[in-house]
Amino acid sequence: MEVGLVPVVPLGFAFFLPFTAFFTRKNRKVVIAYALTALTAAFLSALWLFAKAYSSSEPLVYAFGNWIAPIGIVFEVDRFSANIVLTTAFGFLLAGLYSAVFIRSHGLEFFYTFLLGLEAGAFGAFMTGDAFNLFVMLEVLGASAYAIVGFYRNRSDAVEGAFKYGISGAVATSLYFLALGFIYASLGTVNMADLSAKFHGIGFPVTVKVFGDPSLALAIFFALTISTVIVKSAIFPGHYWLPDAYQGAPIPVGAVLSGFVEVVGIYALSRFLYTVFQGYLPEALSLTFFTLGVSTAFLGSVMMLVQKNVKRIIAYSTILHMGYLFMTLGVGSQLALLAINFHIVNHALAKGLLFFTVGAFIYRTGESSLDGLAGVGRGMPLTTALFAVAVLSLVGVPPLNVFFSKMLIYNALLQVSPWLASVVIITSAIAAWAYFRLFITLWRGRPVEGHGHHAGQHEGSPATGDPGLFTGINLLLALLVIGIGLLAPTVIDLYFHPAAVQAMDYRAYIDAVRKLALGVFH
Amino acid sequence: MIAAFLIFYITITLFAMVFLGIYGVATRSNLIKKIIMLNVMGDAINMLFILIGYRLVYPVFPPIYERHITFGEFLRRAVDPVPQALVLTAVVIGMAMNILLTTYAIQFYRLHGTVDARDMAEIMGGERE
Repeated sequence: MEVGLVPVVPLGFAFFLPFTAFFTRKNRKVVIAYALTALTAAFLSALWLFAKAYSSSEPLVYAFGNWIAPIGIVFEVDRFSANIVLTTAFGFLLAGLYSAVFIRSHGLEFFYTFLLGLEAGAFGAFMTGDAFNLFVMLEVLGASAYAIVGFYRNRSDAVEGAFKYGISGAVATSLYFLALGFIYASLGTVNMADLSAKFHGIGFPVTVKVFGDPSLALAIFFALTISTVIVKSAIFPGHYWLPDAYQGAPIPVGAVLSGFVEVVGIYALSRFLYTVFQGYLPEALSLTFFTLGVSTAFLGSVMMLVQKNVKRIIAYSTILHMGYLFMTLGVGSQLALLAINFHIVNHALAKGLLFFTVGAFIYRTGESSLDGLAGVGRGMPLTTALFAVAVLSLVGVPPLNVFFSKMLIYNALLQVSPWLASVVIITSAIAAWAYFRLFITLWRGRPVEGHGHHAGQHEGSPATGDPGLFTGINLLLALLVIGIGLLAPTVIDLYFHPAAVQAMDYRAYIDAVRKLALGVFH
Repeated sequence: MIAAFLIFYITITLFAMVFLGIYGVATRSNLIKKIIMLNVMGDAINMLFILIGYRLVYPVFPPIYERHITFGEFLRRAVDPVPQALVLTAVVIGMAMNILLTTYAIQFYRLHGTVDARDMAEIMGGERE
């Protein structure tokens, strides 16, 4: 097996799914079995990639069609990418399993097609070693995301959310394309290893000389890339689409959007800032990250307090966590990268648990407004307990996993200023109050009479029974949340510290491609 | 000299179009007009990319190597093919985006009989109360 095949697995399965569904007369069982096979295959290939990346001392390189960079497109996978890819594959597998029960409307085959497309896009964006390929993968990811957010196409909130997400995302990715124009015009390449080599003054075979002043081009490149990431990762001025999109999207989609799709922008920026253009972090750029990150964190936590829909509360919680990640990007040390990597993984797991437990409540009542969900937790004590685990973890209560990544973020920010670091504590406290209110409503609230007469709010008709599958998935995630929390120092030493060290080593990143290129062109 | 001036003029125009596109997406309230302005912006960026690969020499060769010209001559006169390849990819992606967004605009029209973003906000605000 080759490294480059990992994103092709979900993409290939996604391509043939509508045909399979057509020829089996849209048999629900066949579609589910096919999709779960695809997701399991993707998970196994991600596991293989993870093992390979951690056993190899240098980044893995795959050249498409054997055309090595700078002529061709390469995938370059180091440990930083590999552990995020593994978490992504795991999250998508659980979301796919969950959807098999949760999605009861027609068109399940298209739902899974988009879900697999989303997974392929996320894999590609995390694995690519080519800045233009990153644009293509952002669009693969984006197109699938806009389509799957509008899955309930007869509900106006879904259509509205999808349109908002779609048009904002399309403008944002176009700006990234424009940024690539500046990089290509000045540095004459879009390959990440080659860009890095030019920036650090290392020779690279078959490439042109730098044209003009690269520092100006880099400044414009980062300005435009940050404006892309602001929209894609829902940072303060560009966050407006996210609550509407999450409210319209089915719950399992929300879990993967929040955990993996939003962090693609953060990942791309950390790849550019910490590996490719390592050492390029002017004061103004750091200040941008801090200002926007702090605004996002405060906005997310305060807006959590005033929401009346549980999906919107979770949406603003996602904005809050993206704010933390964005803030940490501006620090520029190895500790910051370690914190970002660990927080991406922890946040995805805890947020997945939160989405899936809330999804079980919504499945039971057919409502996502707080009034409709009031008191539902009394009938489902185990799910409520797991919901509490997710909430405590996201707030940052010690033995649970997000506490440790928040602590790392705090430490990283402390290298800059104690005021900046205190933002993490203050916003966590505000968010804790919002979560507490939500928990009390679910556990002790009285059902409000006469709610839910708006046709748009319905998540589907209420279902009877408490599907064992939901509880199983939630138990597994809760186990991971607690387990990673308890074993945090070991996990960091074993997996995340080597990942951060390798991602900061730009020489190894360049050499992995350069060696192959020299072998071909000499 | 005139060619260089023309290139400068075209570049400025294209950048103006990019900003105009963003402005249009943000301020027009008609969803279809938003999509049109997205296209204005996308096409201006594509044109800028084509311009990067352009050569200010005459005659310009297509980027296909032929035996009867020397290699040095070819390198000096051939158009850079990479931006064209990138733009080709971006154009295809833009088409897919157009179809997707237009589908949503049509779907919203079917549900509520309007493609106006202000009406959309009003309808959705009523449902979120």
